[in-house]
Amino acid sequence: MTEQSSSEVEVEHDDGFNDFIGPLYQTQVSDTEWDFWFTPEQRHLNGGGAVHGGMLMSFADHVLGKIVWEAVDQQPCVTMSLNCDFVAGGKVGEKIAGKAEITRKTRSVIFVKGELTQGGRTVMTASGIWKLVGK
Amino acid sequence: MAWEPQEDARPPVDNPPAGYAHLKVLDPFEAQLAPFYRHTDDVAGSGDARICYYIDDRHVSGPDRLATAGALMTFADATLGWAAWDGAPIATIRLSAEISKHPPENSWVFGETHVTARDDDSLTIIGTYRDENGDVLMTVSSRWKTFG
Repeated sequence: MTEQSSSEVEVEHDDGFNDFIGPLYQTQVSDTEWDFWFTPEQRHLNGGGAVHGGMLMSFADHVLGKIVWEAVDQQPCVTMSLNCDFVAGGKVGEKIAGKAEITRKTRSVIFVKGELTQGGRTVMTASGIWKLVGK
Repeated sequence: MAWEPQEDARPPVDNPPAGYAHLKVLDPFEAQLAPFYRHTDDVAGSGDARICYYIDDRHVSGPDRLATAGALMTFADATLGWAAWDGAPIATIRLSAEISKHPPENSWVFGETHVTARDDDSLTIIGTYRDENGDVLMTVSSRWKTFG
């Protein structure tokens, strides 16, 4: 990972989608809790000047997926289901933060929910189901 | 900012699947993931549309190089929006995806959309996304707010 400060790290580069849409940032708050964020740029917008829904869903997938991945001791897992409610529009230039928590974990699937906020205002709520690969 | 055709991050292929032609997207974020291709028989705003795209290195992650849910759902949002957009502003208010298989890098994804409900200020649109063999990769249901 790329060091930003003692507590802030840019998401590990995977030469793939998150690199392409990022930079995305995260910091670990406790054993099970992480804070995530990115700052919307012009390239993240829709034609109306708001943050594109695809970018918000992509960030939500990253936030929820990271929480799941840590909860299963970094075993391979994939998104099975993701539900996103677009509560408000996101603005360019102001940090969008993400939080998520596990709802339930079984042997093969993990239920998770999360929220994206901007300036304390909810812009998206999301819930999803991840599957452990090979289980 | 205006809704104007965007320059795709990569040029369209010379030979898209039969019946498809390059689709100019209007959103900067979609242009980052484009090019997309629409079926030439389909019309924006009709509700029923067939759109495809090619999974490349921008859309994948992990050691198996599979398309991410974010990339697939962005493509879904773009295709559902194109099918619904008749010139008046619209906005996604809910999008739910069930992903049965994450397609690999260097493969095509084909989407088909259908408007299932329409009232004065909202639309419900579903989409089914398949691989080149016709196997379902993802099903999506969505709700859109319409303005004007």
